[in-house]
Amino acid sequence: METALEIQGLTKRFGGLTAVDNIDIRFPKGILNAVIGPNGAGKTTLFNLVTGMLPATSGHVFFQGEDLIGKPPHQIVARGLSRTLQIKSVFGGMSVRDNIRIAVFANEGVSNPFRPARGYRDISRRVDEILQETGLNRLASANAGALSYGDVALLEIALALANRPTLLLLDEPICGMSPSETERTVERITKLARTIDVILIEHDMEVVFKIADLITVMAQGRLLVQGTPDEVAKNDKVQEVYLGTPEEVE
Amino acid sequence: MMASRIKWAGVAVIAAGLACAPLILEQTGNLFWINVIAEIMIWSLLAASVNLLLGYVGLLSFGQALYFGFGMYGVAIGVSHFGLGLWPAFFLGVGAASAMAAISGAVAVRLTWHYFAIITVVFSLIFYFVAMSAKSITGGDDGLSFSTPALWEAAGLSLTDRVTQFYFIYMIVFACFAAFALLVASPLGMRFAAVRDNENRASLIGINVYLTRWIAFVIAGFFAGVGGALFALFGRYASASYMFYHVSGEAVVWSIVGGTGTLLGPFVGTALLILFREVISGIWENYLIAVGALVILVVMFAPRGIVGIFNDLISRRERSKEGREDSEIEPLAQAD
Repeated sequence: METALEIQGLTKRFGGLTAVDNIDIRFPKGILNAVIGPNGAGKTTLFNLVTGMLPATSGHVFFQGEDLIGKPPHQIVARGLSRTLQIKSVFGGMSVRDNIRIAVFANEGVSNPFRPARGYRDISRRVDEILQETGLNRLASANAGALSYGDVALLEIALALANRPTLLLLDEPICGMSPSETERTVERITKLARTIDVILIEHDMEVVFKIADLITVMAQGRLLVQGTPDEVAKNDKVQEVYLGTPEEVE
Repeated sequence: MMASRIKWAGVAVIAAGLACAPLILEQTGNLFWINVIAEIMIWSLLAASVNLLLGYVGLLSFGQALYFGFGMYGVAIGVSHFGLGLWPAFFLGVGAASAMAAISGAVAVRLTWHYFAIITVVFSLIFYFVAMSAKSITGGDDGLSFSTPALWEAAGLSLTDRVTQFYFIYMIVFACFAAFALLVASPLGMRFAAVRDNENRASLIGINVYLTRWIAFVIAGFFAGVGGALFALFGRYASASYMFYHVSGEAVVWSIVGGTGTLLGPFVGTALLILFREVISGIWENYLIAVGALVILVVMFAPRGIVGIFNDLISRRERSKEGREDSEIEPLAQAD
Protein backbone atom coordinates (compact mmCIF):
# COMPACT_ATOMS: atom_id res chain seq x y z
CA MET A 1 0.00 0.00 0.00
CA GLU A 2 1.28 3.48 -0.85
CA THR A 3 2.05 5.95 1.91
CA ALA A 4 0.21 9.21 2.53
CA LEU A 5 2.48 10.37 5.33
CA GLU A 6 5.48 8.77 6.98
CA ILE A 7 6.88 9.83 10.32
CA GLN A 8 10.35 8.71 11.36
CA GLY A 9 11.90 9.10 14.79
CA LEU A 10 9.92 12.26 15.49
CA THR A 11 10.55 13.82 18.90
CA LYS A 12 9.34 17.02 20.52
CA ARG A 13 10.50 18.11 23.95
CA PHE A 14 9.10 21.10 25.83
CA GLY A 15 11.75 21.64 28.49
CA GLY A 16 11.61 18.49 30.60
CA LEU A 17 8.40 17.17 29.03
CA THR A 18 8.63 14.90 26.02
CA ALA A 19 5.33 15.44 24.22
CA VAL A 20 6.20 13.26 21.23
CA ASP A 21 8.77 10.58 21.93
CA ASN A 22 10.74 9.12 19.03
CA ILE A 23 7.69 8.11 17.05
CA ASP A 24 7.59 6.08 13.81
CA ILE A 25 4.24 5.91 12.04
CA ARG A 26 3.22 5.19 8.48
CA PHE A 27 -0.20 6.38 7.36
CA PRO A 28 -1.28 4.43 4.27
CA LYS A 29 -2.87 6.19 1.29
CA GLY A 30 -6.44 5.79 0.12
CA ILE A 31 -8.03 5.07 3.50
CA LEU A 32 -9.42 7.03 6.43
CA ASN A 33 -6.81 7.09 9.18
CA ALA A 34 -7.71 8.01 12.74
CA VAL A 35 -5.40 8.90 15.60
CA ILE A 36 -6.73 8.35 19.09
CA GLY A 37 -5.31 8.39 22.57
CA PRO A 38 -6.02 9.79 26.01
CA ASN A 39 -5.48 13.48 26.79
CA GLY A 40 -1.82 14.41 26.66
CA ALA A 41 -0.96 11.55 24.31
CA GLY A 42 0.67 14.04 21.92
CA LYS A 43 -1.84 13.87 19.06
CA THR A 44 -2.20 17.58 18.46
CA THR A 45 1.53 18.10 18.98
CA LEU A 46 2.08 15.51 16.28
CA PHE A 47 -0.13 17.49 13.89
CA ASN A 48 1.66 20.71 14.86
CA LEU A 49 5.01 19.14 14.04
CA VAL A 50 3.79 17.76 10.72
CA THR A 51 2.36 21.11 9.62
CA GLY A 52 5.36 23.18 10.71
CA MET A 53 3.54 25.05 13.45
CA LEU A 54 6.05 23.75 15.98
CA PRO A 55 9.74 23.06 15.37
CA ALA A 56 10.65 19.40 15.97
CA THR A 57 13.42 18.44 18.36
CA SER A 58 14.46 15.67 15.99
CA GLY A 59 13.09 13.31 13.35
CA HIS A 60 11.56 13.42 9.89
CA VAL A 61 8.14 13.72 8.32
CA PHE A 62 7.92 12.52 4.71
CA PHE A 63 5.10 13.72 2.48
CA GLN A 64 5.26 12.93 -1.22
CA GLY A 65 8.89 11.93 -0.83
CA GLU A 66 9.91 15.23 0.79
CA ASP A 67 10.94 15.91 4.38
CA LEU A 68 8.63 18.57 5.82
CA ILE A 69 10.63 19.22 8.96
CA GLY A 70 12.09 22.73 8.97
CA LYS A 71 9.61 24.10 6.44
CA PRO A 72 7.25 26.93 7.47
CA PRO A 73 3.49 26.22 7.56
CA HIS A 74 2.60 28.15 4.39
CA GLN A 75 5.09 26.13 2.34
CA ILE A 76 3.76 22.85 3.70
CA VAL A 77 0.20 23.94 2.91
CA ALA A 78 1.30 24.83 -0.62
CA ARG A 79 2.36 21.20 -1.12
CA GLY A 80 -1.23 20.05 -0.67
CA LEU A 81 -1.33 19.27 3.02
CA SER A 82 -4.20 21.04 4.81
CA ARG A 83 -5.33 20.92 8.39
CA THR A 84 -8.01 22.16 10.73
CA LEU A 85 -7.32 23.29 14.29
CA GLN A 86 -8.52 21.78 17.52
CA ILE A 87 -9.46 25.21 18.82
CA LYS A 88 -11.60 26.33 15.93
CA SER A 89 -10.76 29.66 14.45
CA VAL A 90 -11.54 31.42 11.21
CA PHE A 91 -11.33 35.01 9.95
CA GLY A 92 -13.90 36.54 12.28
CA GLY A 93 -14.09 39.95 10.65
CA MET A 94 -15.32 38.70 7.26
CA SER A 95 -18.31 36.92 5.79
CA VAL A 96 -18.22 33.15 5.30
CA ARG A 97 -17.92 33.72 1.56
CA ASP A 98 -14.92 36.04 1.98
CA ASN A 99 -13.28 33.54 4.33
CA ILE A 100 -13.35 30.98 1.57
CA ARG A 101 -12.49 33.55 -1.09
CA ILE A 102 -9.26 34.51 0.67
CA ALA A 103 -8.34 30.83 1.00
CA VAL A 104 -8.93 30.26 -2.72
CA PHE A 105 -6.86 33.34 -3.58
CA ALA A 106 -4.07 32.04 -1.38
CA ASN A 107 -4.23 28.66 -3.07
CA GLU A 108 -4.17 30.21 -6.55
CA GLY A 109 -1.29 32.46 -5.49
CA VAL A 110 -3.15 35.60 -6.59
CA SER A 111 -2.16 38.77 -4.74
CA ASN A 112 -2.68 41.49 -7.33
CA PRO A 113 -3.13 44.84 -5.57
CA PHE A 114 -4.64 46.58 -8.60
CA ARG A 115 -7.84 44.64 -9.19
CA PRO A 116 -10.92 44.30 -6.96
CA ALA A 117 -11.09 40.85 -5.38
CA ARG A 118 -14.75 40.49 -6.25
CA GLY A 119 -14.02 40.86 -9.95
CA TYR A 120 -12.38 37.44 -10.32
CA ARG A 121 -15.07 35.25 -11.88
CA ASP A 122 -13.19 31.94 -11.78
CA ILE A 123 -12.32 32.46 -8.12
CA SER A 124 -15.94 33.28 -7.26
CA ARG A 125 -17.07 30.14 -9.07
CA ARG A 126 -14.75 27.99 -7.00
CA VAL A 127 -15.89 29.71 -3.82
CA ASP A 128 -19.47 28.83 -4.72
CA GLU A 129 -18.47 25.22 -5.35
CA ILE A 130 -16.86 24.95 -1.94
CA LEU A 131 -19.86 26.60 -0.28
CA GLN A 132 -22.05 24.02 -1.98
CA GLU A 133 -19.75 21.11 -1.18
CA THR A 134 -19.58 21.89 2.52
CA GLY A 135 -23.22 22.90 2.85
CA LEU A 136 -22.28 26.40 3.97
CA ASN A 137 -24.11 28.17 1.14
CA ARG A 138 -27.03 29.10 3.40
CA LEU A 139 -24.60 31.06 5.56
CA ALA A 140 -22.53 32.55 2.73
CA SER A 141 -23.11 36.19 3.68
CA ALA A 142 -23.18 35.67 7.44
CA ASN A 143 -20.31 37.09 9.46
CA ALA A 144 -17.89 34.29 10.31
CA GLY A 145 -17.42 35.71 13.79
CA ALA A 146 -21.08 35.14 14.58
CA LEU A 147 -21.33 31.47 13.54
CA SER A 148 -22.20 28.62 15.88
CA TYR A 149 -19.28 26.46 16.95
CA GLY A 150 -20.36 23.64 14.68
CA ASP A 151 -20.57 25.97 11.68
CA VAL A 152 -17.11 27.35 12.44
CA ALA A 153 -15.82 23.78 12.37
CA LEU A 154 -17.44 23.31 8.96
CA LEU A 155 -15.94 26.56 7.72
CA GLU A 156 -12.53 25.35 8.87
CA ILE A 157 -12.97 22.28 6.72
CA ALA A 158 -14.06 24.49 3.84
CA LEU A 159 -10.91 26.62 4.21
CA ALA A 160 -8.78 23.49 4.24
CA LEU A 161 -10.49 22.23 1.08
CA ALA A 162 -9.89 25.52 -0.73
CA ASN A 163 -6.25 24.48 -0.79
CA ARG A 164 -7.14 21.43 -2.98
CA PRO A 165 -5.33 19.17 -0.51
CA THR A 166 -4.17 15.65 -1.24
CA LEU A 167 -3.87 15.05 2.49
CA LEU A 168 -6.21 16.54 5.06
CA LEU A 169 -5.50 16.51 8.80
CA LEU A 170 -8.63 17.02 10.89
CA ASP A 171 -8.17 17.81 14.57
CA GLU A 172 -11.38 16.93 16.44
CA PRO A 173 -13.67 18.21 13.69
CA ILE A 174 -16.92 17.29 15.43
CA CYS A 175 -16.01 18.53 18.89
CA GLY A 176 -18.77 20.85 20.12
CA MET A 177 -21.26 19.93 17.42
CA SER A 178 -24.89 19.08 18.02
CA PRO A 179 -25.96 15.48 17.21
CA SER A 180 -27.46 16.46 13.87
CA GLU A 181 -24.38 18.52 12.93
CA THR A 182 -22.16 15.62 13.96
CA GLU A 183 -24.06 13.21 11.78
CA ARG A 184 -23.85 15.46 8.77
CA THR A 185 -20.19 16.28 9.28
CA VAL A 186 -19.23 12.63 9.74
CA GLU A 187 -21.01 11.87 6.50
CA ARG A 188 -19.05 14.62 4.78
CA ILE A 189 -15.76 13.38 6.16
CA THR A 190 -16.35 9.84 4.94
CA LYS A 191 -17.28 11.21 1.54
CA LEU A 192 -14.13 13.34 1.47
CA ALA A 193 -12.00 10.36 2.41
CA ARG A 194 -12.99 8.70 -0.85
CA THR A 195 -11.19 11.34 -2.90
CA ILE A 196 -8.40 12.59 -0.61
CA ASP A 197 -6.36 11.07 2.19
CA VAL A 198 -7.66 11.98 5.63
CA ILE A 199 -6.04 11.66 9.03
CA LEU A 200 -8.46 12.36 11.82
CA ILE A 201 -7.88 13.05 15.50
CA GLU A 202 -11.10 12.39 17.36
CA HIS A 203 -12.25 11.77 20.90
CA ASP A 204 -15.65 10.41 19.98
CA MET A 205 -14.89 6.66 19.94
CA GLU A 206 -18.23 5.76 18.48
CA VAL A 207 -17.47 7.88 15.42
CA VAL A 208 -13.88 6.71 15.12
CA PHE A 209 -14.71 3.02 15.24
CA LYS A 210 -17.56 3.52 12.80
CA ILE A 211 -15.71 5.41 10.04
CA ALA A 212 -11.96 4.80 10.39
CA ASP A 213 -10.25 2.16 8.27
CA LEU A 214 -7.06 2.21 10.30
CA ILE A 215 -6.64 3.44 13.85
CA THR A 216 -3.37 4.67 15.35
CA VAL A 217 -3.34 4.75 19.14
CA MET A 218 -0.94 7.08 20.95
CA ALA A 219 -0.23 7.27 24.66
CA GLN A 220 2.24 9.50 26.49
CA GLY A 221 3.89 10.65 23.31
CA ARG A 222 4.48 7.18 21.94
CA LEU A 223 2.88 4.97 19.34
CA LEU A 224 0.99 2.26 21.16
CA VAL A 225 -0.55 0.29 18.35
CA GLN A 226 -1.81 0.68 14.80
CA GLY A 227 -4.51 -1.57 13.40
CA THR A 228 -8.04 -1.98 12.08
CA PRO A 229 -10.88 -0.98 14.41
CA ASP A 230 -11.39 -4.64 15.35
CA GLU A 231 -7.75 -5.22 16.19
CA VAL A 232 -7.56 -2.04 18.23
CA ALA A 233 -10.76 -2.79 20.13
CA LYS A 234 -9.40 -6.19 21.18
CA ASN A 235 -5.92 -4.95 22.03
CA ASP A 236 -5.01 -5.28 25.71
CA LYS A 237 -2.63 -2.35 25.72
CA VAL A 238 -5.31 -0.05 24.36
CA GLN A 239 -7.79 -1.15 26.99
CA GLU A 240 -5.12 -0.53 29.58
CA VAL A 241 -4.44 3.11 28.58
CA TYR A 242 -8.12 3.91 28.32
CA LEU A 243 -9.43 1.97 31.30
CA GLY A 244 -6.34 1.62 33.49
CA THR A 245 -4.73 -1.68 34.56
CA PRO A 246 -7.03 -4.43 35.88
CA GLU A 247 -5.93 -3.76 39.47
CA GLU A 248 -6.89 -0.12 39.16
CA VAL A 249 -10.27 -1.03 37.71
CA GLU A 250 -11.16 -3.29 40.59
CA MET B 1 -25.28 47.06 -1.77
CA MET B 2 -27.09 50.25 -0.75
CA ALA B 3 -24.67 50.71 2.14
CA SER B 4 -21.62 50.81 -0.07
CA ARG B 5 -23.36 53.25 -2.41
CA ILE B 6 -23.97 55.63 0.51
CA LYS B 7 -20.32 55.32 1.52
CA TRP B 8 -19.09 56.10 -1.98
CA ALA B 9 -21.44 59.06 -2.12
CA GLY B 10 -19.75 60.31 1.04
CA VAL B 11 -16.34 59.93 -0.58
CA ALA B 12 -17.53 61.81 -3.67
CA VAL B 13 -18.96 64.66 -1.57
CA ILE B 14 -15.68 65.11 0.30
CA ALA B 15 -13.61 64.93 -2.88
CA ALA B 16 -15.85 67.45 -4.65
CA GLY B 17 -15.94 69.71 -1.59
CA LEU B 18 -12.14 69.77 -1.45
CA ALA B 19 -11.91 70.46 -5.16
CA CYS B 20 -14.15 73.52 -4.81
CA ALA B 21 -12.62 74.74 -1.56
CA PRO B 22 -9.87 77.01 -2.95
CA LEU B 23 -12.23 78.73 -5.39
CA ILE B 24 -14.68 79.53 -2.62
CA LEU B 25 -12.00 80.55 -0.14
CA GLU B 26 -10.36 82.78 -2.74
CA GLN B 27 -13.67 84.50 -3.41
CA THR B 28 -14.27 85.08 0.27
CA GLY B 29 -10.71 86.17 0.86
CA ASN B 30 -9.80 83.41 3.32
CA LEU B 31 -6.48 82.59 1.66
CA PHE B 32 -4.97 81.29 4.88
CA TRP B 33 -7.46 78.42 4.94
CA ILE B 34 -6.38 77.18 1.51
CA ASN B 35 -3.05 76.29 3.04
CA VAL B 36 -4.64 74.75 6.12
CA ILE B 37 -6.67 72.40 3.94
CA ALA B 38 -3.62 71.58 1.83
CA GLU B 39 -1.76 70.72 5.01
CA ILE B 40 -4.63 68.54 6.21
CA MET B 41 -4.54 66.59 2.95
CA ILE B 42 -0.78 66.04 3.28
CA TRP B 43 -0.94 64.89 6.89
CA SER B 44 -3.87 62.60 6.12
CA LEU B 45 -1.42 60.51 4.08
CA LEU B 46 0.66 59.93 7.20
CA ALA B 47 -2.52 58.95 9.05
CA ALA B 48 -3.44 56.66 6.12
CA SER B 49 -0.04 55.03 6.48
CA VAL B 50 -0.77 54.28 10.15
CA ASN B 51 -4.24 53.12 9.19
CA LEU B 52 -3.00 50.65 6.58
CA LEU B 53 -0.88 48.94 9.23
CA LEU B 54 -3.21 49.22 12.20
CA GLY B 55 -6.60 48.92 10.55
CA TYR B 56 -5.83 46.47 7.77
CA VAL B 57 -2.87 44.35 8.91
CA GLY B 58 -3.15 44.70 12.67
CA LEU B 59 0.23 46.30 13.37
CA LEU B 60 0.48 49.41 15.54
CA SER B 61 3.41 51.53 14.38
CA PHE B 62 4.67 54.51 16.31
CA GLY B 63 7.36 55.20 13.75
CA GLN B 64 5.63 56.18 10.51
CA ALA B 65 7.02 59.72 10.80
CA LEU B 66 10.41 58.25 9.94
CA TYR B 67 9.23 57.55 6.37
CA PHE B 68 7.51 60.92 6.24
CA GLY B 69 10.89 62.41 7.18
CA PHE B 70 12.66 60.39 4.50
CA GLY B 71 10.16 61.68 1.95
CA MET B 72 10.90 65.23 3.07
CA TYR B 73 14.66 64.87 3.04
CA GLY B 74 14.63 63.02 -0.27
CA VAL B 75 13.04 66.07 -1.88
CA ALA B 76 15.08 68.64 0.03
CA ILE B 77 18.41 66.92 -0.58
CA GLY B 78 17.47 66.17 -4.18
CA VAL B 79 16.77 69.84 -4.88
CA SER B 80 19.43 71.54 -2.79
CA HIS B 81 22.34 69.10 -3.06
CA PHE B 82 21.76 67.46 -6.45
CA GLY B 83 19.86 70.26 -8.16
CA LEU B 84 17.05 67.95 -9.25
CA GLY B 85 13.82 69.14 -10.83
CA LEU B 86 10.44 68.77 -9.18
CA TRP B 87 9.46 65.28 -10.26
CA PRO B 88 12.90 63.63 -9.92
CA ALA B 89 13.18 65.10 -6.41
CA PHE B 90 9.66 63.94 -5.60
CA PHE B 91 10.41 60.39 -6.69
CA LEU B 92 13.72 60.46 -4.85
CA GLY B 93 11.84 61.29 -1.65
CA VAL B 94 9.16 58.64 -2.14
CA GLY B 95 11.77 56.10 -3.23
CA ALA B 96 13.96 56.81 -0.21
CA ALA B 97 10.99 56.42 2.14
CA SER B 98 9.92 53.12 0.54
CA ALA B 99 13.47 51.78 0.57
CA MET B 100 13.88 52.70 4.21
CA ALA B 101 10.56 50.99 5.00
CA ALA B 102 11.74 47.90 3.12
CA ILE B 103 14.90 47.72 5.20
CA SER B 104 13.49 48.50 8.64
CA GLY B 105 10.35 46.51 7.87
CA ALA B 106 12.38 43.38 7.23
CA VAL B 107 13.36 43.51 10.90
CA ALA B 108 10.24 45.07 12.42
CA VAL B 109 7.57 42.77 11.00
CA ARG B 110 9.20 39.74 12.58
CA LEU B 111 7.62 41.11 15.74
CA THR B 112 4.01 41.89 16.61
CA TRP B 113 2.06 43.92 19.14
CA HIS B 114 4.04 45.93 21.68
CA TYR B 115 7.37 44.59 20.47
CA PHE B 116 6.54 45.81 16.99
CA ALA B 117 5.41 49.20 18.32
CA ILE B 118 8.63 49.55 20.31
CA ILE B 119 10.93 48.67 17.44
CA THR B 120 9.22 51.16 15.14
CA VAL B 121 9.85 53.87 17.75
CA VAL B 122 13.45 52.76 18.09
CA PHE B 123 14.02 52.99 14.34
CA SER B 124 12.60 56.49 14.15
CA LEU B 125 14.66 57.59 17.14
CA ILE B 126 17.88 56.23 15.62
CA PHE B 127 17.34 58.12 12.40
CA TYR B 128 16.14 61.20 14.20
CA PHE B 129 19.48 61.40 15.99
CA VAL B 130 21.41 60.51 12.83
CA ALA B 131 19.66 63.33 10.96
CA MET B 132 20.27 65.71 13.84
CA SER B 133 23.99 65.01 13.89
CA ALA B 134 24.63 64.86 10.13
CA LYS B 135 24.52 68.63 9.91
CA SER B 136 26.32 68.94 6.58
CA ILE B 137 23.65 66.89 4.79
CA THR B 138 20.46 67.50 6.74
CA GLY B 139 21.06 70.87 8.30
CA GLY B 140 20.60 69.27 11.74
CA ASP B 141 18.56 71.42 14.09
CA ASP B 142 18.05 74.16 11.54
CA GLY B 143 16.73 71.84 8.86
CA LEU B 144 17.23 72.27 5.16
CA SER B 145 15.57 75.04 3.18
CA PHE B 146 15.35 75.15 -0.58
CA SER B 147 13.43 76.97 -3.27
CA THR B 148 10.80 74.92 -5.06
CA PRO B 149 11.56 73.98 -8.65
CA ALA B 150 8.97 74.90 -11.26
CA LEU B 151 6.04 72.54 -11.69
CA TRP B 152 5.68 73.07 -15.41
CA GLU B 153 7.81 75.89 -16.72
CA ALA B 154 6.34 76.01 -20.22
CA ALA B 155 2.86 76.54 -18.85
CA GLY B 156 4.08 78.93 -16.22
CA LEU B 157 2.82 76.71 -13.42
CA SER B 158 4.62 77.15 -10.15
CA LEU B 159 4.03 75.75 -6.70
CA THR B 160 4.62 79.17 -5.24
CA ASP B 161 1.10 79.95 -6.37
CA ARG B 162 -1.18 79.00 -3.52
CA VAL B 163 -4.01 77.61 -5.65
CA THR B 164 -1.75 75.73 -8.07
CA GLN B 165 -0.02 74.19 -5.12
CA PHE B 166 -3.35 73.23 -3.59
CA TYR B 167 -4.45 71.38 -6.73
CA PHE B 168 -1.06 69.70 -7.10
CA ILE B 169 -1.39 68.33 -3.56
CA TYR B 170 -5.06 67.51 -4.08
CA MET B 171 -4.38 65.39 -7.15
CA ILE B 172 -1.59 63.40 -5.58
CA VAL B 173 -3.47 62.81 -2.33
CA PHE B 174 -6.57 61.85 -4.29
CA ALA B 175 -4.55 59.36 -6.34
CA CYS B 176 -3.09 57.89 -3.14
CA PHE B 177 -6.51 57.41 -1.54
CA ALA B 178 -7.85 55.87 -4.76
CA ALA B 179 -4.90 53.46 -4.79
CA PHE B 180 -5.54 52.74 -1.12
CA ALA B 181 -9.21 51.93 -1.79
CA LEU B 182 -8.27 49.63 -4.64
CA LEU B 183 -5.55 47.97 -2.58
CA VAL B 184 -7.74 47.05 0.37
CA ALA B 185 -10.42 45.61 -1.92
CA SER B 186 -7.89 43.60 -3.92
CA PRO B 187 -6.67 40.03 -3.36
CA LEU B 188 -3.60 41.49 -1.64
CA GLY B 189 -5.88 43.52 0.63
CA MET B 190 -7.74 40.32 1.50
CA ARG B 191 -4.41 38.77 2.45
CA PHE B 192 -3.79 41.72 4.76
CA ALA B 193 -7.19 41.19 6.38
CA ALA B 194 -6.55 37.48 6.80
CA VAL B 195 -3.26 38.17 8.58
CA ARG B 196 -4.95 40.79 10.75
CA ASP B 197 -7.87 38.56 11.73
CA ASN B 198 -6.04 35.32 12.38
CA GLU B 199 -2.36 34.89 11.79
CA ASN B 200 -2.29 31.13 12.43
CA ARG B 201 -5.20 30.41 10.18
CA ALA B 202 -3.66 32.63 7.50
CA SER B 203 -0.48 30.56 7.46
CA LEU B 204 -2.58 27.39 7.31
CA ILE B 205 -4.28 28.47 4.11
CA GLY B 206 -0.86 29.04 2.58
CA ILE B 207 -0.26 32.73 3.26
CA ASN B 208 3.29 33.80 4.05
CA VAL B 209 2.46 35.96 7.05
CA TYR B 210 5.88 37.57 7.30
CA LEU B 211 6.01 38.50 3.62
CA THR B 212 2.45 39.86 3.72
CA ARG B 213 3.26 42.10 6.68
CA TRP B 214 6.45 43.27 5.03
CA ILE B 215 4.63 44.23 1.83
CA ALA B 216 2.09 46.17 3.88
CA PHE B 217 4.89 47.89 5.76
CA VAL B 218 6.61 48.99 2.54
CA ILE B 219 3.34 50.28 1.08
CA ALA B 220 2.65 52.15 4.32
CA GLY B 221 6.15 53.64 4.08
CA PHE B 222 5.36 54.67 0.52
CA PHE B 223 2.21 56.57 1.56
CA ALA B 224 4.05 58.28 4.41
CA GLY B 225 6.85 59.11 1.97
CA VAL B 226 4.45 60.74 -0.49
CA GLY B 227 3.10 62.81 2.39
CA GLY B 228 6.61 63.83 3.42
CA ALA B 229 7.64 64.72 -0.12
CA LEU B 230 4.55 66.89 -0.51
CA PHE B 231 5.16 68.53 2.83
CA ALA B 232 8.71 69.40 1.86
CA LEU B 233 7.47 71.05 -1.35
CA PHE B 234 4.71 72.77 0.60
CA GLY B 235 7.07 74.24 3.20
CA ARG B 236 10.18 74.39 0.95
CA TYR B 237 11.88 72.92 3.95
CA ALA B 238 12.86 69.62 5.58
CA SER B 239 13.67 69.07 9.22
CA ALA B 240 14.61 66.12 11.40
CA SER B 241 12.00 67.23 13.93
CA TYR B 242 9.33 65.71 11.64
CA MET B 243 10.89 62.29 12.12
CA PHE B 244 10.38 62.37 15.85
CA TYR B 245 8.05 59.75 17.30
CA HIS B 246 5.87 62.50 18.67
CA VAL B 247 4.81 63.16 15.07
CA SER B 248 4.14 59.45 14.55
CA GLY B 249 2.02 59.44 17.69
CA GLU B 250 -0.04 62.31 16.38
CA ALA B 251 -0.76 60.34 13.21
CA VAL B 252 -1.87 57.37 15.33
CA VAL B 253 -4.28 59.67 17.17
CA TRP B 254 -5.67 61.12 13.92
CA SER B 255 -6.14 57.67 12.53
CA ILE B 256 -7.87 56.27 15.62
CA VAL B 257 -10.16 59.28 16.09
CA GLY B 258 -11.18 59.19 12.42
CA GLY B 259 -11.54 55.43 12.36
CA THR B 260 -8.98 52.74 11.61
CA GLY B 261 -9.94 50.13 9.08
CA THR B 262 -11.94 52.68 7.08
CA LEU B 263 -10.86 54.48 3.92
CA LEU B 264 -11.69 58.02 4.99
CA GLY B 265 -11.16 57.67 8.73
CA PRO B 266 -7.60 59.00 8.66
CA PHE B 267 -8.63 61.97 6.54
CA VAL B 268 -11.57 62.82 8.78
CA GLY B 269 -9.47 62.45 11.93
CA THR B 270 -6.65 64.56 10.56
CA ALA B 271 -9.03 67.25 9.33
CA LEU B 272 -10.90 67.40 12.59
CA LEU B 273 -7.86 67.60 14.84
CA ILE B 274 -5.91 70.04 12.67
CA LEU B 275 -8.95 72.33 12.37
CA PHE B 276 -9.42 71.99 16.10
CA ARG B 277 -5.80 73.01 16.62
CA GLU B 278 -6.06 75.97 14.24
CA VAL B 279 -9.24 77.27 15.82
CA ILE B 280 -8.76 76.50 19.51
CA SER B 281 -5.01 76.92 19.98
CA GLY B 282 -5.35 80.67 19.40
CA ILE B 283 -7.91 80.94 22.17
CA TRP B 284 -6.75 78.39 24.71
CA GLU B 285 -3.11 77.37 24.93
CA ASN B 286 -3.79 74.10 26.76
CA TYR B 287 -6.09 72.86 24.01
CA LEU B 288 -4.22 69.55 23.92
CA ILE B 289 -6.06 68.56 27.11
CA ALA B 290 -9.29 68.69 25.10
CA VAL B 291 -7.69 66.60 22.34
CA GLY B 292 -6.65 64.03 24.95
CA ALA B 293 -10.17 63.86 26.34
CA LEU B 294 -11.60 63.43 22.85
CA VAL B 295 -9.22 60.55 22.11
CA ILE B 296 -10.14 58.79 25.35
CA LEU B 297 -13.84 59.15 24.56
CA VAL B 298 -13.41 57.79 21.03
CA VAL B 299 -11.31 54.82 22.14
CA MET B 300 -13.82 53.94 24.86
CA PHE B 301 -17.11 54.49 23.06
CA ALA B 302 -16.30 54.32 19.37
CA PRO B 303 -13.31 52.04 18.90
CA ARG B 304 -13.79 52.22 15.13
CA GLY B 305 -13.68 56.01 15.17
CA ILE B 306 -15.96 58.63 13.73
CA VAL B 307 -16.21 57.05 10.28
CA GLY B 308 -16.74 53.70 12.01
CA ILE B 309 -19.83 55.12 13.75
CA PHE B 310 -21.22 56.26 10.41
CA ASN B 311 -20.54 52.90 8.79
CA ASP B 312 -22.29 51.12 11.65
CA LEU B 313 -25.30 53.40 11.37
CA ILE B 314 -25.54 52.81 7.63
CA SER B 315 -25.27 49.05 7.87
CA ARG B 316 -27.70 48.88 10.80
CA ARG B 317 -30.27 50.74 8.73
CA GLU B 318 -29.60 48.32 5.89
CA ARG B 319 -30.08 45.31 8.10
CA SER B 320 -33.35 46.48 9.58
CA LYS B 321 -34.59 47.00 6.03
CA GLU B 322 -33.48 43.57 4.87
CA GLY B 323 -34.48 41.94 8.14
CA ARG B 324 -37.55 40.29 6.69
CA GLU B 325 -35.69 38.62 3.83
CA ASP B 326 -32.85 37.55 6.13
CA SER B 327 -35.08 35.81 8.61
CA GLU B 328 -35.35 32.80 6.34
CA ILE B 329 -31.67 32.02 6.86
CA GLU B 330 -31.52 29.53 9.70
CA PRO B 331 -28.51 28.18 11.49
CA LEU B 332 -27.23 25.11 9.72
CA ALA B 333 -28.10 22.87 12.64
CA GLN B 334 -31.80 23.23 11.93
CA ALA B 335 -31.48 23.53 8.21
CA ASP B 336 -32.15 19.98 7.15
